[in-house]
Amino acid sequence: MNDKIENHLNNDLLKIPPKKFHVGQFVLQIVMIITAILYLFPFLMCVFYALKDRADIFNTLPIQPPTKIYFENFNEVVGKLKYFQIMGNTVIITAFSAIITVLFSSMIGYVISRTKKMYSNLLYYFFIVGLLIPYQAIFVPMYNWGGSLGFIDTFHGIIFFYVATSLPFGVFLMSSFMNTVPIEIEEAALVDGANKIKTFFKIVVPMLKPAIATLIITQSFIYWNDYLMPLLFLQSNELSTITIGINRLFDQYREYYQVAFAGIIISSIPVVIVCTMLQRFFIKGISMGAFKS
Amino acid sequence: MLLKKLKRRKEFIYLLFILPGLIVYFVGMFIPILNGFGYSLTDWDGLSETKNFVGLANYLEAFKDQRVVYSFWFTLKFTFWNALIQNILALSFAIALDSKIKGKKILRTIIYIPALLSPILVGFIWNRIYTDVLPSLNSVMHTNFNFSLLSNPNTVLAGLVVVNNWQWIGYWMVVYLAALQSVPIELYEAIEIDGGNFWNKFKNVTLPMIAPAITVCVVSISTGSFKLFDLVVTATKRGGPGHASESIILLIYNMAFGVSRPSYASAISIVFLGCLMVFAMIQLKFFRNKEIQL
Repeated sequence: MNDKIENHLNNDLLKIPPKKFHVGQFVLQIVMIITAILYLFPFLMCVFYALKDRADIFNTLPIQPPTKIYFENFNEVVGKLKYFQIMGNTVIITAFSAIITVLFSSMIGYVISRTKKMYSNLLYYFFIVGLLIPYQAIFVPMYNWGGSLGFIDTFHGIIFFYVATSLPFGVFLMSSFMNTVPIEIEEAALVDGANKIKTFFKIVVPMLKPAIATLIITQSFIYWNDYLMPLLFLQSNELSTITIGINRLFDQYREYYQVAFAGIIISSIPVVIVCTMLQRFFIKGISMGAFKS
Repeated sequence: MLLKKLKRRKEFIYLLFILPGLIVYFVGMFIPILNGFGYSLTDWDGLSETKNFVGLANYLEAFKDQRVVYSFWFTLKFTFWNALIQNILALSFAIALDSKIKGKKILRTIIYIPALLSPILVGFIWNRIYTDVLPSLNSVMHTNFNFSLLSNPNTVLAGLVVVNNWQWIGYWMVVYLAALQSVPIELYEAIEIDGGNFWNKFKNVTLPMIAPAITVCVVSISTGSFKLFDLVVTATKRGGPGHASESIILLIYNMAFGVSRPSYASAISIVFLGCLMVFAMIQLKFFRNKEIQL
């Protein structure tokens, strides 16, 4: 009898399945690793190219690693690209465009969200229409008009048009976010005697932080990588942005890819580092931006 | 009296808040649109003082111009394949990275990194990959594949679709990941209790729950692909071979600055704008209906 029970218990215990081997999961893991390798392949090629000297370029296949590590390409490209200058230009344009866009669109979003009047509705739709119009569809008249405003070859000109083209999304994002912010806190501040402008900057703007972060991230991304607008508006070499400078480099170094690839690496590493560090915010920003539109 | 004054003051401050943005938007966006429409009805060459009114001649010419028709058709095909492949792969990768596999964070970062690069750089990198790197694989493996997709008018579209997908799948994967992570886990458990398999879960929970994300991704990928420009500047050396990869924006650019016909370019721009609007409306309507059905 006892034996029987023990036997039974043992059997039951043994019946607990051993940790199941998930075939599906294993296959998935392998597939994703292969995908990652394929994804990295172009980057590996960039590194190979950038670290070869001219002899190596001719004597080895592109998929072969350099026979000796050669850093001179990087030195050469920093000078040829005027690296620090074009980086600085791009930072200035991106930062000013993003900050002004945030400022203007939060002010307009505030008014739209806090006044429920005819004109605020009208204002809202006036800006929303712009969401359907990418600047790429009107860049020819934009260029001519910018020319008559004296905006060619100036930073304020390109910043002006960046802000103008970002406002539809900015106003949309800010006014819809503002609708979720309770009005009571502002009213309390107003009762306490703070004026409207002070209330806006001290109370409202801090509450808009998530929306502001989203706007800055999505728009900076666009400005940083944009090519067409600087191509039109920044024609002199001293004002070049990264995309323009790099593309000019490609044209100059048609035969010496190693230098161009060194340029690709040094111009994208800062962005990749910053974005990987800020990945958490970045991902939040992207998904928030996407769902709002 | 005081109340009235306060109210007026409030309105004044609101006006102060609106004006800067409104002026910039009006001057920077609306006037160019109106100007563009104006140019499109003339024969202006961009430099001379005279602009002759030619009515709809530019539009009529555009509809008959083989180069214009080809460019619109090319961009439309590019958009279609991108929207299809990018959505399917982005969603698949997102589901894979939402499962229990290892190293999700590093995988996500790797797949996402290309989206951080400017298309100008991506185009150049892939131009070399197609012309040098992949053909060198042939000599290693003793095979004879034709990898030079970008130098053949018949395969240039496929080559560009590959490049564009490599760049952007990670971006949309992140959007899908966020959507997947917002699906309540109880819903999956309910299906598991009912004995449902992966496919049941996908069809009955995942798909309906992430329908809004699918709408967003399809619409954004399409509008993004319509604006194809930077990539073809470097990947195919400004729309080559010949005009085989001349996207709409590149065509407008060439017409305006290459052959100095901003009026004709403006007409093409206006047609493009019209297409974008129609397209956006169709897509939104189609997907909104679908979402309700699901």
